[in-house]
Amino acid sequence: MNVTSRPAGIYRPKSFGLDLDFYAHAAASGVVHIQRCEACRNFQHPPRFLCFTCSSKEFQWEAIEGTGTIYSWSLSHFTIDTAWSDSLPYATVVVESLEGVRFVGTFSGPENDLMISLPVNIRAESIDENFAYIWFDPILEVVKKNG
Amino acid sequence: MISQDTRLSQSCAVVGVGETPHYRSDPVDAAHLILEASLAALNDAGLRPKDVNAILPPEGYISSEELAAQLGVDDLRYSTTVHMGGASSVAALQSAAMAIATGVADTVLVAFGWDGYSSRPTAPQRPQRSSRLPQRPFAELMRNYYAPYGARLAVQWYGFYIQRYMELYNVPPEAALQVALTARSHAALTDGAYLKDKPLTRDQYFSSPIIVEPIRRYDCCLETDCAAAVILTSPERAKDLRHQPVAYLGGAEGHPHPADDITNRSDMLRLGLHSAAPRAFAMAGLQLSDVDFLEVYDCYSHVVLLQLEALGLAEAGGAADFVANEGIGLDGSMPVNTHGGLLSHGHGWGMNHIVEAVRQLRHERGSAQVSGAQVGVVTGYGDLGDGSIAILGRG
Repeated sequence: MNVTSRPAGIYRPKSFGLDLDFYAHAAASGVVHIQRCEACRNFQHPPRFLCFTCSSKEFQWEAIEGTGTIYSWSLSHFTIDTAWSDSLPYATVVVESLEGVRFVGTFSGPENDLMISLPVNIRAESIDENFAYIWFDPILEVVKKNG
Repeated sequence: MISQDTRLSQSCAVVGVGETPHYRSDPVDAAHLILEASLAALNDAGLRPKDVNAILPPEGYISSEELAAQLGVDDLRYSTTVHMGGASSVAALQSAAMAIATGVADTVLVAFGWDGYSSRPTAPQRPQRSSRLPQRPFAELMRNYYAPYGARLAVQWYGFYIQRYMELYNVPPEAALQVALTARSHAALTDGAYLKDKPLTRDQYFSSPIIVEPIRRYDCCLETDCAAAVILTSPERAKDLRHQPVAYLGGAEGHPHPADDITNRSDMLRLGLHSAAPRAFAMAGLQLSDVDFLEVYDCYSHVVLLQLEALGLAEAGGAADFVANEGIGLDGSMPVNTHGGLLSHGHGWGMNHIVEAVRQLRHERGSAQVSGAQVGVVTGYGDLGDGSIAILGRG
């Protein structure tokens, strides 16, 4: 089903440390921020203590440009998560941002429009100071493959 | 062929196998099942518990020391547990070979067992013993970054890359169907297979519900309470034992990078097995053309397709053609999962695949026997892409 609003009672991240920092930056600004290595300028997600390219410990949190393309998705017809039961079938979507890192979130367009490389805007919906929900909004109207 | 140290090749042999039935009834204590399978394997080998001096138990459920205490293993010299989910059983053979090759131990018990049915995610009440299972390596990351968006089950995480695989290569649904039907037809020839007497038809398959696209109910592994175990020892000692020894010809494990996050792998479809398989074949000094059958970890039908490609049987996206044209049944060019696999035999985390490979190489499989089998390959697959492989040979 076309999920356009966040279901009530979803599983919240039990974040602390770097994971909390990730969500707190997004929640405060409405824009997803990711780690950028100060030494080699590599972007990475999910956040880690070391840069996985050069092992540096020094990072900045940098706002992403905010666009990306669909890399893959998981379209569930079954769930154990009661918060999602009324939304079945629903898609959990992986998007690759312009910076080259991938996020999991929810696509706000019709799930029938999902296709690899479809361009999307990446949006963070602030829930509270510790959590922002990641949305992927379609940029273009999809021309259906089957007419 | 890549350069590979070959010291582990033929360093040890499987001399005993044992397994319990697959149960789906009242909650069981997995530790009891593990002990039962361990005793069966020792009995099969004609060895006593006191002959064992290394134990490789599965994650959770029972420790090596508790196993030693219960069995009466009074001189335990080495123990370790592999943490690779469903790839652990096959990867543990590598650790057993290392222990024997280096002289750290000479007789090794590798055991697996769990309450996969009693502790299934939809069970009304999980057995107390399940709480011992350690947190999976990816649990924290999954909880923080996948679960809020409705993906909390393995099948939903696998959906990320199976969906991409199907889209990129336009894989026809008949490919997974064939994996599922073949497994069921092999289970029909296998005593102890949980679905031995339940034939599966094409119509039943296509009318079964989709769990996560494109994975249907009959593409999913069974949930069973079960245990299985194998005994390994040196080739010299193996000669004097009860059965035709089954030699460890080569093996390896591989981990995708990063292993703890599916989504940020540079190529989501590159598995641990892609790096492990060439090393194992180089160690064994063998090629795919030398292999008589495969026991492939089949948590989902589609994962078999991915692994056929990782093993080199087909180009990327080519497994569907291989399955259709070459055949994976007992009459095909490469029989796969000759006991029915996790899909139709039961969910022994791949230890049941090892047991089956040994029985094939002993030529004990009757109507399911791969004629004249000399070399078999077993793969393990777990924790969202970790891979392991063992190449086993008769004699």
